[in-house]
Amino acid sequence: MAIFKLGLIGAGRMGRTHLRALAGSETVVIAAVTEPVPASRNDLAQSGLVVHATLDAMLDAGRIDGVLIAAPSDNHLALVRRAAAAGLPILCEKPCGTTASQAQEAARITRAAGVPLQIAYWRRFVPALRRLRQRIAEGAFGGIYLAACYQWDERAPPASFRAHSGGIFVDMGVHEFDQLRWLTDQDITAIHASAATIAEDPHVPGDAESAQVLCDLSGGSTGLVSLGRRFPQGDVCWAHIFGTRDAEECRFLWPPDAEATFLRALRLQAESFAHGVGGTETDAARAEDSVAALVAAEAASRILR
Amino acid sequence: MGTRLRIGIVGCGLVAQVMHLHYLRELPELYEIVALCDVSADLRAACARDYNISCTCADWRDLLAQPLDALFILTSGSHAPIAIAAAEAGLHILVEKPMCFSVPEGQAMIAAAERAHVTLMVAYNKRYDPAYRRFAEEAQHLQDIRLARITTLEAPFVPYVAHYRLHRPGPLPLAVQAAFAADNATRIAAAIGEVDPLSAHAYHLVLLDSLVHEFNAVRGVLGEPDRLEFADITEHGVTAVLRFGATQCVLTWVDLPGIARYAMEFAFYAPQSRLTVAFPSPFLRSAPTLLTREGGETDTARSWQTEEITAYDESFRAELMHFHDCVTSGRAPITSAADALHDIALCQSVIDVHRRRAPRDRPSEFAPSMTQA
Repeated sequence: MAIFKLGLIGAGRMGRTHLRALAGSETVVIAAVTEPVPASRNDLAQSGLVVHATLDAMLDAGRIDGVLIAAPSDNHLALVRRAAAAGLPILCEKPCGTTASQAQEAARITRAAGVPLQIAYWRRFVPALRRLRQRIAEGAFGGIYLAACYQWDERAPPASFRAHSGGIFVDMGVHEFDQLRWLTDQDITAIHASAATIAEDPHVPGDAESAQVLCDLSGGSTGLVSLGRRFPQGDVCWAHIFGTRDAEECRFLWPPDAEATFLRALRLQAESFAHGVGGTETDAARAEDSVAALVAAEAASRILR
Repeated sequence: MGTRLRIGIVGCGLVAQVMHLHYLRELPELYEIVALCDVSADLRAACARDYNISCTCADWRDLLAQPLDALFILTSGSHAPIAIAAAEAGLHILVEKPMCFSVPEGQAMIAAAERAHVTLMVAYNKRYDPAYRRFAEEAQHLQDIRLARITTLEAPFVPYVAHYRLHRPGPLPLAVQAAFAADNATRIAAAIGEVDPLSAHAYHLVLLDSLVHEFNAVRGVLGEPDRLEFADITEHGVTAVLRFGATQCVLTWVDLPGIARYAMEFAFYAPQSRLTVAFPSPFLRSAPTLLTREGGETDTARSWQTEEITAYDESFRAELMHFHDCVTSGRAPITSAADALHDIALCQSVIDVHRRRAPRDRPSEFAPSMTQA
């Protein structure tokens, strides 16, 4: 197929990570970038990218096959609405809005417009996790007692970020809630949450430094979502499956390879998006999956409030 | 259309299993159950096995594509969206109570049914209870009813259904639960505004869920109330005082979750005689409703009481026969949507009177404040 031309919306930290991740792709290219900050635009232009100050300008210029939304979460819905009106397929950074109702609205808008909307839950493109999921689906573990999903960061982001991130469950936990549903092919039916009062950094209201969530799953299994904002060994993610026949620990994001794993998953994700737009069936996250992850995050947040 | 109606069922929960599915199967000359819909895969599969139904689905929209004559809407939540779509698909409709969450929703349902020339009936089973019908007849002969007392003692329902072979849904996905809760909250706020949590709770789970029965049954005998004198909502109950002409009607609903002694009584008191109808738990098939009369001789000590069992016919079964009759004859149902909408108006009025601590005239009529969505 012809190379798929993505328009990147937002070249902040995550947007630039996507730029790096897609640099080596033979399927997808970032053909244009929308970035509102002039200094950032200059930097990008110097590296040879076509840059626009607004999404409207990028859409008017045409020559893109889809958009990748990597702007701050509170802009997601407005950007989805604009891109859907232009009829462009959308790959939106998680969690697609800041609330479940915003994600729901994004689903409604894109459904009505007949535009594909994929949410960037990149865990679904980590090869080690895909193998684990395959083994679960094949019954290699027998019945699943417990599916545990851990995300522990080396250190907490600045308090200014934490105060507006939606809290640990929205900021971090949505990944694990989605991963849990995707790995087990079960839905979350009930939530129990707890947070330690141990903290290293000054307290940020509404944002615990670590939190643990137990989930009842629709197939009778239990899920554990374990989140922490401080892990001396670095940024890590792992999953641990406990079944009646087998158990497996899968350290899919672990120093020193964490960065490479992450970038590779982002590339595979964008390539899957391009294939999906081309009509290939994929198991990428849809808006409904994002709604489910946000509903779980909101339910957990309510328990700790 | 043949006389055998092809039925689709939306919602396979408690009332569907205990009553509707059970009695539909008892009336094979009138009904054929064609398709079942429920959000719970476990539940719809189990009911489909029990009733030998091959067509099942998770989304009610898929039911509308089936070859049906009528749809039974037995879900929790507002029945308005499903009923309107069913009417537009040309299906006759039986909706469980409450028919909807607000007066404008109900008006939209009625308009859709009228446009499509389909029957829209609300499943107020008590109106089809033989003892209630006797009660309504006898009440016409009472002279000077001074007090109408309606007392409901809500009781745990599990003891009343534990002897049935029932299927339970598996737990629903959190996102589905959240979507239902959000839809309910939006509709409740549209009906009664952003009110205190106790009022919102009582509106949803006491007034709409339960007291619509009492309102509908008393209106079936006394007509529309002239005034809602008083209404008070507490954590455990609702009390309302209504006036029908010269008759004062005191309604008390109280939640008593301890012992299995459900009671719902309508008692009319006149100087010369007294009349009471006492309903059993609505979950007990064919348990008789009791009609009690008290009389006596003026100025003497002689007085008497009789207790009547009118019949063992199940009201839910009679309701199904009436629905079939209405659909095939084109007659308006006794419990039409147009009639039932006055019960929704009364529910909204109870919240209003409770919150304002002031009475309201013609509380079952559709005030402008109710119809502004």
